[in-house]
Amino acid sequence: MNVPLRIAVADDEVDMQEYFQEVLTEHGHQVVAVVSNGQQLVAACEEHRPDLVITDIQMPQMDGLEAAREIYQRWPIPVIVVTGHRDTSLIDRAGRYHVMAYLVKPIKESDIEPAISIAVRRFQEFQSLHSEAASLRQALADRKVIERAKGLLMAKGKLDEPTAFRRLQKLASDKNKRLVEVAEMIILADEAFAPPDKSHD
Amino acid sequence: MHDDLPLRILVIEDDPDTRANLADILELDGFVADAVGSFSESLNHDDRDQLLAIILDRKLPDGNAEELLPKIRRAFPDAAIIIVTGYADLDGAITALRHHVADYILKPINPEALRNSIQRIAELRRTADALRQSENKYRCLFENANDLLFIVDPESGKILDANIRAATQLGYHRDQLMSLQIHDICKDDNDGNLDLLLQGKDISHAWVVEKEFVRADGKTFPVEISSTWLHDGGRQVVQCFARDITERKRAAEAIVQERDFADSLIETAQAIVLVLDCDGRIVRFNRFLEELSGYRLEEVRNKNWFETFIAPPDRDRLKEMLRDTLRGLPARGFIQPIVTKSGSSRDIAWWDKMLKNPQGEVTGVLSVGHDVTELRRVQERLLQSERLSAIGQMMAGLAHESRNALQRSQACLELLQRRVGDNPKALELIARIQDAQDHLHQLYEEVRGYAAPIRLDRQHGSLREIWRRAWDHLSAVRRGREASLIEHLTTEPISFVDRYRLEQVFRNLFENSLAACSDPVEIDVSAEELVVDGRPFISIGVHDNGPGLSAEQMERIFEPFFTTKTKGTGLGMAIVQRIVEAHEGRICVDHACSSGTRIVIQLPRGQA
Repeated sequence: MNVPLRIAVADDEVDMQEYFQEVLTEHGHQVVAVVSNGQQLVAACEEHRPDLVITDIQMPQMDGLEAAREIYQRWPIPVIVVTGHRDTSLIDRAGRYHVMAYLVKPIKESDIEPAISIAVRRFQEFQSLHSEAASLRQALADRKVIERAKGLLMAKGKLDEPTAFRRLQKLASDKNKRLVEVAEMIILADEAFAPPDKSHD
Repeated sequence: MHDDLPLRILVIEDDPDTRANLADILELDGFVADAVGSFSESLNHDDRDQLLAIILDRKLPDGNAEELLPKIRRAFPDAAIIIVTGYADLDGAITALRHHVADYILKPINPEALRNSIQRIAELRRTADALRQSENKYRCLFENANDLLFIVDPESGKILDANIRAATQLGYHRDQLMSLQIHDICKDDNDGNLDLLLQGKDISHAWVVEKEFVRADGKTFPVEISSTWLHDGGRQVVQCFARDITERKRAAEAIVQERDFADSLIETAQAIVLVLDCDGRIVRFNRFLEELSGYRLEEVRNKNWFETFIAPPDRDRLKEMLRDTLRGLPARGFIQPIVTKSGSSRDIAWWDKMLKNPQGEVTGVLSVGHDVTELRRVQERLLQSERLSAIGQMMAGLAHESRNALQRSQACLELLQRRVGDNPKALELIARIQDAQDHLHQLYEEVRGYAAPIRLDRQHGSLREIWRRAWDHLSAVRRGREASLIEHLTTEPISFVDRYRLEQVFRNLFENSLAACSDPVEIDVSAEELVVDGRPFISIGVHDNGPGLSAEQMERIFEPFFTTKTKGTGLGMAIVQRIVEAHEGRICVDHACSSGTRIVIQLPRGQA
């Protein structure tokens, strides 16, 4: 039931690079990049846009957590860290930088696949919650604009509320525009006719 | 004659021949003779007090002896008077005697008779002088004595005489004192001591009693009275000497207070106070040592300290130290254990000093000892924890390196397994390497777990859930075994604990039981309430049906690196103890348990 994934791996140990390459491939994934520090990892992500990143923490130049933060800010990709350390400060940073799984070395082959599948699924859930929240925020903002346009119609056209709203709906359908676009135009038109010194009212 | 100043004699004689004759006789005898012709002339005499005698002619121009005698007496009160007369008549003699004339000499004067008479008078005079001097001396002593002196009539108790000191100290005039009884100035004589003083007629014995005198103003002061009997003019009087002992009493009280204070200090001191004589025998010690050692002072007094309280190997060395101390080398703060009555040992830090009596002779040694047993234990624990903390830092570094190295080894091992393919002998070797590597990993983690500081993340929760989870997590170990967990609860074991750490505790206990017991394994977990120092505790017993622990195992089970298993670091129970103690709890082996092993854990319930 493995979903084949495109994976980028970072570890400064050659043994581990070889290990990940072979084991992940064995499990049906495609290893798109194997690098040995954080900078290279960010570059590899930019180039390959992998589905998943598996990285060590302590590496030369940029460490794995720093790379995870940058990757999260630029592309939504789940990140798993595999490290020899379990200091609370590192775990805390990993949490803040949206790391999806934290594995402590030594890990075995049998540890890898469960971690991958949990991390990917959690990340997807996270992403969908994230977009859901974004669309809710947008809907709320649209509603504010529409309410304001409706208020203008009621005041200038001496209309009651249901009539004003129906007029907005009719305008949108006649002009083949979204309700919020019509509302924005009404507000803009109102500002154009308003006296210049009172433009901010 | 006398070697004193020459005695003076005054001759009053109107006849010039007799006068010269008398003067000659007297001067021949070594007296200084002044001669005058009449009484009125005699009044010019300047050394009246020095006169021993006056030789008076019976008939003088200014009157006869009978008329003149009273005047002469007044003029010369101390002089003896000898009348010289030409004829003997009875009336003259009687008159002379009435005026206390010393002698009566007839003319013509017999020098021998005169000489005898004068010498008898001189003798009397000397005796009288001596008496007067003695009287004066007594008076002087009486008046100037620093003590209060009284002469008392033993029958009535009346004060017949008292000295100035008595009057001033009592605040009376001397005359007022003389009108009082001795009882009037003594505070209530309930004990009858005063009567003893007055009636104790044994003259050879001086009675001494303590009383309180009452001053004229009503104030009192303590006195010590001694009395002696005197014969005074044919009657018996009592002479009382009273000494104001206010200061003495105050000083005595101060000494008693000082001693009481010192005694209570010694008895309440939380330190040993011990006195040995020069041979090391026990003279005294305080209650602290009685309580510490279990010996009562009475049972070991005069016994040899070293034979009683010191372990045999140390005795000779300490006897040598005692000799050093007696030579004046004080010992400060050396640590020497004592052996108590029950045979246990206490570490004592000693301060020794030699003792001298008031004559400056060395009489023994004073030793003050502090029980430092607990202090040393704490120091040892501190040292241990410092060691652990150093090991912990080292292990933290080592653990990271070991994890990375182990990871590489693991990765290569797994790759090797793939490369080898279907070669059973090689695969078996790989499995054995894997096994050894897992063990190594476990060792590193345990040592690190023991050495690392424990930080607790405490929550209120049921211990039952925690031990059940520990039991569930051991399902892999229990696979193929016949093992059951039985619970006996008299209370819901809610406590304020770090769940992860407590699970570690139960897992360790269960693992040990599973390793020690043969099937069927029964592990009985019980929980009951308990109050320790007024705080509510939960007491958990974990009891298995295994072979139980040997005496050595019971003693050493919590020691790091002590193990009976062939596998394992011997850190499991040490970590368990650390975790329980980090929860302010206690863990011990139940010594009273007769079958299997029973471990008891007591944990505070925490805030409700």
